Amino acid sequence: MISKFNEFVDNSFSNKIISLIEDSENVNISDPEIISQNDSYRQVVSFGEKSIPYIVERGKYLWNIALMEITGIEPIGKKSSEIVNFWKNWAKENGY
Amino acid sequence: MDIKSQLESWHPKLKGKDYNFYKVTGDFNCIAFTLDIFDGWMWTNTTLWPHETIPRNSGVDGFKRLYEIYGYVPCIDGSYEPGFEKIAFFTKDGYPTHASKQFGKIWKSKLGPSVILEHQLDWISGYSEDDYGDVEFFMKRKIQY
Repeated sequence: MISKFNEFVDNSFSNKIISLIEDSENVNISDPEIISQNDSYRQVVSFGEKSIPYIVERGKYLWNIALMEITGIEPIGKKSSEIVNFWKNWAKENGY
Repeated sequence: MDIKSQLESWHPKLKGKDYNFYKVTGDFNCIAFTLDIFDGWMWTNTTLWPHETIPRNSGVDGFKRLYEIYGYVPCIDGSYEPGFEKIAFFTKDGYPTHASKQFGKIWKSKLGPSVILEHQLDWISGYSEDDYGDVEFFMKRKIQY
């Protein structure tokens, strides 16, 4: 019973954060800082470490600000692919 | 919401117009697209911005300098000039919002996460919530074959 409840909570959280992530990405704005101020983006950041696996999984530069805010780490790289790979490696090394 | 509805929601003047769009997979924004960069976001606050030569707080002038680095020079308007490619840079209430690039006689913009829109400039200009304001400046460079 408890495990089913936990599964329900997990699925509910997954659905919610994925929906917020998709909302955050669905913008016609080119300034990442402006995007990061949107309500949906702020909600994703507010989940803290729990959001890390989900936003790293997206593999998009857009989530660099969120990851820097949550972890306090500044990535090394310039291109999108470099930044995305930095976070993927960091997440793997840190057990996410 | 489908892509067409989303585009017309952002830019109401697209409704009823003969525009095209197609999906792309690269991770880049509108400014990067105008500079033929398809793996990076170019803005004053991004990792790709050449902050060693253009300060991050340089505003609209910073973007002009950016385009100069890439071989662009100021020009009067967005009229088609054979042998040249042009960019149109938009601001809204004084703030940079967007840039489009001319391909022959059409303009293209990277919009949202994964769409390239083919359009006329005035179809995305304006002051509805998500419109880009007005063209602040045009620049051009010789097409590099």
